[in-house]
Parts: sequence; C-alpha cells; structure tokens
Amino acid sequence: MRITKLHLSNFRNYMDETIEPGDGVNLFVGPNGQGKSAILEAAYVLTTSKSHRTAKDSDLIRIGSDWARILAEVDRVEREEVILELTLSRNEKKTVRINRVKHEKVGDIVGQLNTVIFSSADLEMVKSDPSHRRRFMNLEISQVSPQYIYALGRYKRVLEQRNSVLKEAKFGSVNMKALEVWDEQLVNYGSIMIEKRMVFLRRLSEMAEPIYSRLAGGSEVMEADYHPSFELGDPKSIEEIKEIFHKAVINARENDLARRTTTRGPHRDDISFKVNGMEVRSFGSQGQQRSVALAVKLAEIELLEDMIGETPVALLDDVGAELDEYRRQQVFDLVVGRCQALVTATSLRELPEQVVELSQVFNVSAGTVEKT
Amino acid sequence: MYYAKPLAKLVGELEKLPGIGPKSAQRLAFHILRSSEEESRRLVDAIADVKTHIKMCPVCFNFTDKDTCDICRDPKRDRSILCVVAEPRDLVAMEKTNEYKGLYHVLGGVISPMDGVGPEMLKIRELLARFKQDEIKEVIIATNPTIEGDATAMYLADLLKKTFGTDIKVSRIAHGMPVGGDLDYADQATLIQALEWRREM
Repeated sequence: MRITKLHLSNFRNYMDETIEPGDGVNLFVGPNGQGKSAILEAAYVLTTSKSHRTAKDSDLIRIGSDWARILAEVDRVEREEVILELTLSRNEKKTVRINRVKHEKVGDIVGQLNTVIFSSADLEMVKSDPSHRRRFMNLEISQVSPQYIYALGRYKRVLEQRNSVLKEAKFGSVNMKALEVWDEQLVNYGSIMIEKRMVFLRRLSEMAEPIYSRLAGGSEVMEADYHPSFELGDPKSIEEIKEIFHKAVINARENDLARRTTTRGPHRDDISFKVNGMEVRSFGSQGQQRSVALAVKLAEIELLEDMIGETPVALLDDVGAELDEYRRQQVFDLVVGRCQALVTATSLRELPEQVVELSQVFNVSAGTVEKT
Repeated sequence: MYYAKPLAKLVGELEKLPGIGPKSAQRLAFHILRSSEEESRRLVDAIADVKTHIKMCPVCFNFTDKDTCDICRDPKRDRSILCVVAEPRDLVAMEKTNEYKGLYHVLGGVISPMDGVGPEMLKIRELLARFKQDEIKEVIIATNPTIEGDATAMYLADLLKKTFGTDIKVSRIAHGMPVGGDLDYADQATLIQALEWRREM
C-alpha cells in the first residue's frame, strides 16, 4: 500500500501543500517545529480519523483558519485505488469522503489506509497504565475488522447505560431486571471484542518474539499475553466466551453494586508484556522496554501484511532521537524494500547512510515541503 | 436589545422548539409578524386546539381527540395481534404500510438509564393489563435497533414470557438490509446486523 499524493490544506502550519511520496523511504528533514511530524500525523488521521498527538481536533486546524483538510490518494494492491478526504472544522462536525462520496459516519474511513506509526508514544504503551494498551488494541484491530468497530461502539454505549443503572442504585434497591437487560448486551458485544483481542494478541506475540530476539541480540524471550478482567481460561469459541463472561458478570454483580460501576469486561482488559517470564512494565530495564515497544510495532507491520495481503505504510516519527543506532538499523532493515515509509529527522546524519542513499529526501521548512 | 419586547418574547419561545436555532427562530418570528391577522390567528388556534383536544388514548397511549382512539375502536382491526412501539411517530410509520391490521401499544420511550428513563416510567404495567381484557395472542415488538431499543425489547420479551409462558407468541421486527438496497452500498454496521438476523431458507 502506498500514498501517492498527500494534500494538506490549513492543516497544522500548512496552508496549501502537496506532497508526492515515492514508493520506498521518504525522508522529511528539517529543524524542529517546521511541520515534519504533521505530515505523518495527517496520514495517521486518515488511518484512524483521529490524531495520535492531540485529543482536540481544533489543534489540527491552522491558526487563523476555520477549517482544515487532508486529502490522500492511496494505491493499493489488493483493492482498487482510493481517494480519502477528511475535513475538520471549528464549528461543525468533521466529515469524511471516500472516493469523493460523503460518508455519514467518520469511522467509515478506518481500514481504508493502513499505517503503523513509530513514535515516542510506543514506549508509553509498554510503560504506562492499561488504558494505553487498550487504546492500542482498539486502534489496531479496528484497522482490519469492521465488526470490531461496530462491537466497540455499541459496547461503550451499553457500558454507559449499565453504569447509570449502578449509580442510580444508591437511591434505593436496584431493579435486577433493569440491570439484566444491559448484562446481556454487555456480554454480546464484549465477547466479540474479547475474541478479536485474543486472536490479535496471540498472533502479534508470535510475530514479535523472533523480532525481539533479534533486537535484544540473544537469549531473551518476549511474549505478549492477553489479560482479561476475569478468569477466561482457553475458550474454543465465541459461545464459550459469552458463557464465561456472563457468569463473571453475574458473580461480580454485588461488587459492581458496591462500587457503582461495571468491574468486568473488555474495558478493564490489559496486555502483559513479558521478557523471560518477567513483567516488563515493572521489572524490565529501559532498554528492554524500548525493545518490546519496537518489536510490537515491527510485528504489527507483519501482522497487517498477513491480514490485508499487502504491507501497510510505515510512519517513523523521529526514530533518530528515539532509538539507538543498533535498533534504528534493525527498523530500517525490516522496513526498507518492503513498505513505503515516511520518516522524519532533524538531520540526515541521524540515519544510516545506506538508507539515505535509497531515499527520497524532502526539506521541510515553515510549512513548505521541497523535494531535493 | 435588538427586538421590541413582544417580538423578543416570540423569538425566545420559538427558539425552545426542537431543531430551531436562533436564526430560524428569527425568520419564523418575522414571518409571523408580517402575516395577516387571520393567518396568525389560525396558528394560535391550532396550537391551543392541540393542547385542549389532544390527549392520550387510555388503551394504547397514542394521541387522540376522542375518548378512545380510532384504531382501538375500529371493529375491523385484528384484536389478537398487538404491535408495541416506542413513540407515536413509530405507530404512524407502521400505519403508512397499510399492511398491519392489528392493534398498537405506545410505550412512550425506551429504557435509557443515562437519561433517567427506567422501565417503570414506560407504559408497561398498562401493557400487561391489556391482556386481561383483550384476546391478544401475539405481540410484535417494533422498537428501533439501537442499544436502548434492544434493551427495551429484551426486557419486554422476558417479562411477557415470564408472565404468560407460551400462551402468547412474542416476536421482534427484523433489522438489516433496506429493500432495494445494494450490498455494495450498505454500511458495515447494517451488513453486520443483517448477518446477525439472517434466516434459514
């Protein structure tokens, strides 16, 4: 999969800029604050409909403008070429066009352009609280499964409704029936999410393991385990997941009522990354944490390739500053010649020479991009 | 103050209506102001009439200007089938099909704890009471395929089965592909639902 054209209008510090990336590695070089990361961010927004750097869409609109637009032409091997367009506005809801056709749901854009982003947030994913890891699962699985997007949207709403029942319960005895109607839907949509997450993590773990060994150079073994919020065992089917999840919800009812919130379900899931059997979040060194984060991202490229039948676009944000020379080399070894890559760097010296030779270089300066 | 006081009052009242923003309210107010005495009188009367003459049918809770609504009194209607809808507008939609010949029951909403609506606030007790007098054999639940519509349908189906066992047939209207719709153009959520609700052939 390749982005053949990226057009930014009033996006971040860009007024009106067209970028035509090449098939291989594209280096965006310039001092900080010139708009290098914004190019990668634009591609990411078209992937997920949201930014990875800010929760506020208004941050993406150029100061002095009321709207911003990102347009990309994407060349795909397995599916026909597609034109994606996302418009942000300070006053109205954001809108999405796919091949010039306006879509009611912004989420419809998810899955059209597949990307894997490497940034400083990856380390956070390994080190920080579980919400980062759930967000990672949601974003990545959504890229390949419309059913997951559907289940996730419905699950969130059911959870809100069920928690409202639990909050109200303090004013008197709770109507058990009123809770049960939400239990059933919680289990239905939640089980779809759990099943997809299990499969995703099992495969990600398989693919990350050899990559980690290469990064860590030797005897260390990494794994990524799925940690549901209740004892799940090893279910063989979605029906079995539903059954076990339903029992867990019933068993937790008193606890839920006492805490006035839903304590079981995929909204409380976590991933446990281990190296040689030890939890890397608590016991890993900084270096191990970095390697795990990187291995997971590189594995994602392989996993996406396997699932959609072609390589995603790799977005490498400032890997020069983030990674040491050895890890950097490993990343480029895996990416060069395989995926289209958009890479930012403050200087060409940060990058391996062989990579620079093979790359298309763009100079980025104050919201303008020039091919060299 | 942009408007003279009575005009400001009218704009203010119109703004409270659903779907009417300040701009529309202003346009409507100026339109009313310019209209003839007779025209505006008719609007005032129509609003007053609705408030004095329209009430809820005590049987099905649809709006009516009679003691019992036209549908509930119609002898040609099939009294063995009851269609349960959330709002009066859903009943109108069903009636427009000209296909359904049974009776209705309007719940007056759907269960939504977030909005403070529990089952006890819907006309569910009244629904159960209807089984004592009428010869209802079948109930069709026609709530929307939203999270809340689904929860309400589940709640009702469960309650009806517990109360009447197999004496009464309970069903839910199907959801999925629109008639004449292209698979190609259906959004993914619709297709997933159509798959979920598929039927054997």
